[in-house]
Amino acid sequence: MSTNNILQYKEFSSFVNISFWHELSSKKLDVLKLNDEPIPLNSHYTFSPSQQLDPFLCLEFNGFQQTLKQSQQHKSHASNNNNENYYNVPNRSYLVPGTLLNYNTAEDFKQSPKTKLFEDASKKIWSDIVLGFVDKDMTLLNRFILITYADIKNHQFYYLFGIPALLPPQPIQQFEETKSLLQFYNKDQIKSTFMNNPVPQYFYLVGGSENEPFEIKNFEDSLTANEEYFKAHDGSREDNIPTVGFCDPCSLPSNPGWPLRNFLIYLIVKYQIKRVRVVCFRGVSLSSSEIETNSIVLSLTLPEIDGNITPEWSGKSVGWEKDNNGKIAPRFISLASTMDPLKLASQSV
Amino acid sequence: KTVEKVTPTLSTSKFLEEGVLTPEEFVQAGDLLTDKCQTWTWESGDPSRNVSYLPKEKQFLLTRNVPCYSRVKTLENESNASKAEEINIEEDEEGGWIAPQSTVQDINDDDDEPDISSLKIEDKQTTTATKPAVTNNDDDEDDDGEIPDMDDFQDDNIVEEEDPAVLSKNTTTTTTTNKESKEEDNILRTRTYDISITYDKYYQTPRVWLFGYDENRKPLKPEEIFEDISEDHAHKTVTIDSHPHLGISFAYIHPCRHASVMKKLIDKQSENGKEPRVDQYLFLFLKFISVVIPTIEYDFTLEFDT
Repeated sequence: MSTNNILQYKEFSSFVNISFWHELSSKKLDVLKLNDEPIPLNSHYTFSPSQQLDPFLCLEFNGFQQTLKQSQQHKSHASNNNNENYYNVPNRSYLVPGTLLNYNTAEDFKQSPKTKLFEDASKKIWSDIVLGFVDKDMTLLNRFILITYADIKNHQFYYLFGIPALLPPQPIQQFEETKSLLQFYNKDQIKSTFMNNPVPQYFYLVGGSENEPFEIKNFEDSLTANEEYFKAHDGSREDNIPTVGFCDPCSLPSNPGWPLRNFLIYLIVKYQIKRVRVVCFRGVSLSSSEIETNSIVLSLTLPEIDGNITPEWSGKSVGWEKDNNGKIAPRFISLASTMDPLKLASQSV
Repeated sequence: KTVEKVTPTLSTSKFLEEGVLTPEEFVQAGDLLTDKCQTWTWESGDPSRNVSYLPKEKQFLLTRNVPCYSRVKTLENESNASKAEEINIEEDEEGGWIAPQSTVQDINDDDDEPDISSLKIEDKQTTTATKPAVTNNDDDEDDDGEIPDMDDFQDDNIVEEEDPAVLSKNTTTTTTTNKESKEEDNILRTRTYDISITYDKYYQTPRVWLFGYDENRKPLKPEEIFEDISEDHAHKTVTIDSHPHLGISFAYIHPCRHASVMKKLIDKQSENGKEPRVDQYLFLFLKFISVVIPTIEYDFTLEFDT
């Protein structure tokens, strides 16, 4: 097959709300001080209403807060016990957990073991897949690292994002071109399936023959049901290709966003699927015509992973955020105009 | 969840008489807005800045990353007619401002369609004069002091596998030179705004706060934000202050006239035989705010006439 059929994904663009930098500054002064241990963070993504808006990974002032679920799992972390403010994912947005590594000096930042940090995050994703943690919590498929140096005195921040995607042994190919949702489902099906049910971040579709609505199955609901479905639908024949879906932050007409990547690895590892159809669900608004025109369906051939699958990841991963020249390079932001008391005073009217 | 019982400044409804809201009514109106327009959410903000007259988890309303495709100047050149009308009314109203019906309609002519639909692929000529930065934009414009040489921060040890499955904004084909790849990046990016609405205890009305980001997700400077505010309002009614729940400086639309404008709109609704509903207050309010920030395409769609 020619390389033209390789499925291409649109990368995330990090979008750090300035409220996050404010929060980091005050944390650095009051709590972290010179501590440069890794700190858990939370971010989210949502649907993109326009091609002019990249798929954003959004980090805000509450990025340091844990979700209720996370704080229950780590009860030992005393620091969170008295804190009733949990990280809330906004409407129609999806959680992406991550890790912050904040260094004290420019030199430490530069010398930080970036490649290792990135590999560690990749390994964690892989072991969560293999050890079955993802089965119960699909948000573990996406993970980011943020490496920072906060020059608080000057209100300047240097930062670098990595959002690892595990690479399959060979690139994933499309066996048919990208199609619109309407080429697979009629308007009634789309309406009754996607409009009348909550759409989980990752799902698969059951039933739906003869214009009936589909049933949306959340991967997290029942592992047994998932296993049965993918046993019967392993994609080895034309008539047993499974249909899965995910909430897609991308809005390009023929490319999916980044969260599909590790999900496909999960399907290969967990269910050994040969071919799959993927609904890239784009629920920008609550209108079914929007969903019809924006959502796309991909038909994919999945490679096999040879040999024994162990929790130890030995493959490769990609996903450092690039600058405007396509180079992996730290970004810089100065917030003197919004943080410096002197400048603020001169602005206020 | 239980709404904390408190005694606010305003406890009896004066919605019909004065166009103002009690905190309870603000919550009611916010609930309907977040229900109908899911791009809006309730936020709790910085816990140390919580106000006691609003529920802890409903301190203010926020809509994130709202696209703003063009500057007001471009829009005003396009629709001189409606601008002229706006100015007329402005003068009639002794410097006060009101949403002239026709202007509102010009801007969002079809309220039945979620206004997202107008954002689609169509080639907008008005879009952002600024091209995606061709040079490394870290080296440019900022007047925020010394700009460091980012090469000092470059870590040459990071190497990444060449991945044919990545469609990044600059690499639609692999192994192009920098120059070529820039030319292939033909999607213009756009400014975005975070818009929040707080309850203003003094004026007893909602107050609108704007925070803008440029095409490269860098915060806009105040003078750049003014480019997205209608000329008539830019320096008159918009100022910068610290956001009450986030503690960051934001541009806000001064609420001193909000109640009187809302009162007029409510009266107009009554005249037209519609019963004004306090829970729809924010829809009406956002419709009139869209006159001030006509190019920021936030969602306030409800089948609804004044």
